[in-house]
Amino acid sequence: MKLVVAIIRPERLTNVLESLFRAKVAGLTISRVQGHGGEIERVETYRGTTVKMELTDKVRDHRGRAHRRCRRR
Amino acid sequence: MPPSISPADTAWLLISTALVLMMTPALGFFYGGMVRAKNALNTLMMSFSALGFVGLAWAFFGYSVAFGHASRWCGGGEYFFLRGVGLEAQGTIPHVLFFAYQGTFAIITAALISGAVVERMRFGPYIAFIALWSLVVYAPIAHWVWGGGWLGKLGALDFAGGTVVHINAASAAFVCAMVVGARKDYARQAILPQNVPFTLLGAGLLWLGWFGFNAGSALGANRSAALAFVNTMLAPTATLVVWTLLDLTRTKKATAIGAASGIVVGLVAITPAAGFISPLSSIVLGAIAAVPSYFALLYRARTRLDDSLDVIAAHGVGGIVGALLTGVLAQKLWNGGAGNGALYGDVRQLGVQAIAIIATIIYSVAGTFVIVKLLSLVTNLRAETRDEGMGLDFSQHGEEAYSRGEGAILLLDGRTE
Repeated sequence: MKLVVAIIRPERLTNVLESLFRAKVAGLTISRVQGHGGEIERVETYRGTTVKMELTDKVRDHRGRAHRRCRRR
Repeated sequence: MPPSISPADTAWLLISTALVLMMTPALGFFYGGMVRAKNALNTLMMSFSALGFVGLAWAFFGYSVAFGHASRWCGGGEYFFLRGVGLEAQGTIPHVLFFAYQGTFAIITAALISGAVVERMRFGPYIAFIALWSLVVYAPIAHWVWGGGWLGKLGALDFAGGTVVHINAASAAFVCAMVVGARKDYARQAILPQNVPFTLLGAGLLWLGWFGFNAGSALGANRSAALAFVNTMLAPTATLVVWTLLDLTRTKKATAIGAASGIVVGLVAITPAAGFISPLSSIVLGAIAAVPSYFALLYRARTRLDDSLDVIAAHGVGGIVGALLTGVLAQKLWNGGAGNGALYGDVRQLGVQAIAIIATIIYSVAGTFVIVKLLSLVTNLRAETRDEGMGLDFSQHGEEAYSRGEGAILLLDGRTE
């Protein structure tokens, strides 16, 4: 059994899940987190207020991969 | 022959009254979307409570002060507690309906001020303020322009309330923002709107309600109402386009809050002019009005004046531009002889408009200052810093707008121990 922790962009979640299920991954947990680093600069304007969003939504993907059960199928 | 009641005029005013009443909840959503989630209910309640407290003040005293006949400065007490307000004709509609229609204006004008004090003013003093303000400041100014007072006699053109409603509310907003003071986080933290769709919803409903506000001000189902209606449609279209183009030039993005603001500024600006200028002039007026308000809004955010939801930039600047342009673009050809503007030969009209603007600002600023100062002597206007931090929804109302209900334990008899 392996434990993989990945932090991905929310809009990629569906693709990642599809790939994982195709690879016969048995169980996983996701949680919504926020992070900083590596993103393109996100500046927003609300009337006279201009802000730079320094935290971006991410999905933390926590999956255990049970090799034996996969093989049995 | 006694004046008779017109069924058509009555029908239109019945609808208009309901439309204008709806503008106050709409304003609640317009404002409520622009504050933080922890203050959403409080901001909505600042508008909703005006429906009750200003509405009652209007029924008991306000209507008489505004539309009584005592003098050129102020109405008398003849209509106190609706005495003498019956089913007889007032113009071509029943007197009670005229009273109700005018009441919806008092309610929304008081609620407009809340935009300058959101997220920090205690709710009790706020309610006391708007009720007193509607009697001491709004009702006399309404009397000056519409109740047979001196500005009306001077020939000031204010079709639906550019001075009475918008410049008046903005002047009061300025005083309130100064006296109550800035939010503790103002200019220190980014304060972001909690729900921009609410703001767009509010702007849309305001536009719908504004047809009753402007076209209803013709006080009948007639040509003047049709002109005001069309102008209420056209002016904001021009403001919205110019505002969007300004947004695109400045930030390369057409913002949604900008669109909502542009619509409201266009509506504010056409209010005094609605039944007095041609449809093409209203497009010109709407387009011009976008520019000063747009930059006033940007400038205000860089000052220390925490007029949180920009009542001055939208209603004050927009109202002044609209009132002045009424004095430029008014055309007897379209307004049944009410008056020509500077462009059509009567430069004096522009001067009269300026007098109306200045008189409104002076009286509103002074009257508001007296009320707010008196209230601040009796009670704290501001929430405690800790309460402001937790949000006014909990500290003033004991509720949350978006409670998740996690960890909530049921207290069977409401005890807290």
